[in-house]
Amino acid sequence: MTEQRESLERDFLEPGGALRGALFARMLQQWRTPDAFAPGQRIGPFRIERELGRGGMGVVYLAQRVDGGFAQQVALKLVRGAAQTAAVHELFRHERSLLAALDHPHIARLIDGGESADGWLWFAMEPVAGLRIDQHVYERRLGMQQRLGLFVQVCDAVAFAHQRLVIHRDIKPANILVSTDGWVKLLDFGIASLADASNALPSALTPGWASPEQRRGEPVTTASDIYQLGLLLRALLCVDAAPATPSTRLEATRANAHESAAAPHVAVDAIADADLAAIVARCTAAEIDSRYASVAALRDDVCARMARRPVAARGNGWGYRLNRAVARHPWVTLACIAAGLTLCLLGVQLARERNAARAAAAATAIQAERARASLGFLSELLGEAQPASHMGHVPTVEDLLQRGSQRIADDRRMPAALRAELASTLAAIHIERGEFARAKTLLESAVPTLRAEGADAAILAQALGNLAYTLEYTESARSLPLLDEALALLRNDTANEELRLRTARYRASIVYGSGHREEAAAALRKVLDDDRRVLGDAHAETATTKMMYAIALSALDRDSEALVMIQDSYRTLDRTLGHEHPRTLQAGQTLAIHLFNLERFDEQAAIMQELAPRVAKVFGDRSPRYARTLTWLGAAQSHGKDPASAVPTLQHALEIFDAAPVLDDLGSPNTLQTLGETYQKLGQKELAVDAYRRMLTRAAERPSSVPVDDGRRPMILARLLLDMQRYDGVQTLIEQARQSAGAGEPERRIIGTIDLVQARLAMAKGSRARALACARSATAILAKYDYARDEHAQAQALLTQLQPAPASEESAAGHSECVAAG
Amino acid sequence: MGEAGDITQMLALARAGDAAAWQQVVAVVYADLRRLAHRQLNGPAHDQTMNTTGLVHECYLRLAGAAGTPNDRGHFFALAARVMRQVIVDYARERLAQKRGGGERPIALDDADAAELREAQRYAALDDALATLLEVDARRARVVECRFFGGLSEEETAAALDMSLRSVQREWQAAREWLRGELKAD
Repeated sequence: MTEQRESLERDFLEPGGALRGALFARMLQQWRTPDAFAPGQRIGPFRIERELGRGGMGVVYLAQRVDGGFAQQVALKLVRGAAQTAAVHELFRHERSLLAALDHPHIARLIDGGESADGWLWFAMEPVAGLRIDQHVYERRLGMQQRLGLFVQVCDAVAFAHQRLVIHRDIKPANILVSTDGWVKLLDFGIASLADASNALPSALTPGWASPEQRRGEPVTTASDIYQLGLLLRALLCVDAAPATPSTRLEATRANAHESAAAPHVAVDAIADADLAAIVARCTAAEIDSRYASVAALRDDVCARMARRPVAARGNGWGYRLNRAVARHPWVTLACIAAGLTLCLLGVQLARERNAARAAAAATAIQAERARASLGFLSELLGEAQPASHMGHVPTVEDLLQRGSQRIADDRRMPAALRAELASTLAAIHIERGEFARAKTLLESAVPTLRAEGADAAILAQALGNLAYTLEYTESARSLPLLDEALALLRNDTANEELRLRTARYRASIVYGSGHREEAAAALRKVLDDDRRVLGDAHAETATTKMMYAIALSALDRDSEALVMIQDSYRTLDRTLGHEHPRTLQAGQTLAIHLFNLERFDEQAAIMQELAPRVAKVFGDRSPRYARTLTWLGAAQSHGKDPASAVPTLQHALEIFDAAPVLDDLGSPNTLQTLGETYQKLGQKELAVDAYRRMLTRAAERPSSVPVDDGRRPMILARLLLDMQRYDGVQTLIEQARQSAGAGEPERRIIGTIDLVQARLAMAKGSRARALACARSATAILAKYDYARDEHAQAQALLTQLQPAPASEESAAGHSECVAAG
Repeated sequence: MGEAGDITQMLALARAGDAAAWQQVVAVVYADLRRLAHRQLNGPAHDQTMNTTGLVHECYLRLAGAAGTPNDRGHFFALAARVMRQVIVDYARERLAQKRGGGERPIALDDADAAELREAQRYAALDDALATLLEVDARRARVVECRFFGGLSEEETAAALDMSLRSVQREWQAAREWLRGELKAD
């Protein structure tokens, strides 16, 4: 016993010992969380109606005012605790008045507060209806701009409170509700400090959400709120990053709607957008001094990102000031990807099987029959390749296919249905060989026959799908009805799920191509879910669908989610199809393009370096495909640490394009544009001018199927010339641009751009009146476009120069004067 | 802001030695701690120590904030530490009184209870010893209050009592030696 006593005493007088002791703990433990109240019970001037939920800090009820002569519904929060003396009352009231004075549209108002006779603290707050902000984002599948918009609302609320010296201390999704019309409300603002209940030390409930200083038990400041805002931003951006996994944190969160969930432990890298990652990093820095100094500064940075302006958190890297809009090159459309893919052509696949027995085993009995018939037909054809039958003249596969078509047309004994079926099979082979015109011819007559003869649904569906596939870009109006017909035929056909999925996917890619991005994304999502179910996640087709879905997502600004999916697809395709399969390469290129759009140039360059030699090997080192790959690589290098390295790459690409002009489509003008931009970066203006001129020449010479030049290209050159103070030929460029832009909507951004260039030129040539008219027009138009901030600023500066005192009747009417004059 | 003014007054009076004001301060801190107490139940058990120190710290700051004179923060902490001493010691004595009962046979105690009681005895003894020390060397006694009851760091103690860091360390060492001697004599 004495020994014990001694050891106890040894430990006894330690700093803070009293607070760590069991006695003190017991003392604190005596006060428990509130027990539930029953409906009908009176608290202060309110009567409880029903329980709304329980959090860590207390219980929340919906209550009705019954005392006071007017009706009012409130959310009533009850917390255990008792004020004992007048001094405590005062303290309480003082803080409460501070919080009640927080009158802001995005803050759930504290209406009233008090204590009940038996020692309960109650707080009556504005009742708020809505979903938790992360749920809201998830359910509505909000795009990035919308998510950022919500976040800005939160920042407004917090900034307002900080100005009034109130710190929230517990910013997390559970405390932020969003109404159906997208209006944010912050809950429990300052309640934490007022009630001094659990929420004041978030680490007690939600360890992941506490700032480092909170976890250390240090006093809380506005910097802690900023830290939590950073975590919130990260959480909002990463919602739905792994859409198909039911075990994401979000599912867990939704399951415990009232509980505070652990903060998402997603590495900052998972935020694809470099700007936003930088913003989050600056909020969540361990050192308080490294964080934003105020919520207002954070808010400004987020708004800058929304407007596609440079973001302060990124610092001032020299290569950074890019025009983001230009960076988003529409070089890859889904149709291009779909063009690399063929529909699941059962006939073709089976036709490829040399071993009929294997083919039969792989298919169902009916399909085996069909396969045998097709194979039989083909082997008969191919039988003609035997030396014995050709007598010295070796027929090519070409010849055989011709003969095959002939046979079908001539052989009257063959039943019409079978003939049509075989024609369809031949067409499929033609498609595989890229001979779309021939396939189309065959199918144009086969399809009506198949319909008329009541052929097997799957066969007809396949033929319809193939026909849609062979249609020219210009005939795309026909594709959708054909595909719809095919899908209707396959609707409940469980034996041909794969065919249905490939058809549905192709249909979605057409929808995407026609500009209906949302619809396409939704359709692709469904196909993806089905692919996962039918084929599994590790299948090449699933990976391909995933990639297409990701592209659609990124067109809808959901870049973080898209990036994860594209990376995933690339890996899967690499694994299943190999390094050098065209589809793998395509996925790699998609990934690279995506990284480019997110300005992660070094990563993009790394991938392109990997891909380029493989593309050269698979498609040929003189192929336009390779040249395009080199162009992308050059673009990446140009934005990276060593822009000069881009020059030889781009010149190599040009060499290839020059050697094969006929096949070139969009290729070389883009290469030259990138080359010009590179020279500009390197300060070699003359070379840049030269590159841009060549770009314009080529763009004029080469008709493109995708309209890209709406006047932007001449303006790129014009701007450089103006910067160099060379005015010859700029007017011509302006005319050129106006012509390309055509007679579309008069307030398009390109019109603003052209007017600005015209204004600068006019200014340089001394025609102030014209300059003024054009500057006015440019300013008015460019003001409408978030991502044209820099140009707008230029226009405005020019306007101010010309007319220091802005007149009140300014309008875009200046545009017509701008164009008309001289 | 009449309310804040009253609290400031109360604190000022208490520091000056006004007994009634002192009682009020004690009550305020006590009530605050009670409010803070929810967390103990809901917090992660392993983190209890840090939470306790943290929440007591918060309590101090809230009151210091309400008092409205940031320059006095250090001094205020010294006051708060004194309050903590009284709060804990009061509770300890109360527990001892409960357990002693009215001459009845002591109820069989479990280990936790026994540990608490021993602590309570020690705090009571410590309080007496400190009362003695206060007469002899006030500064040394205050250091003990700040460090042991207030949970303040060496720097915070130095700020609270207008001492150098070195002095705080020396006084704390000396106090412990002396107190150990005193308590062993029990």
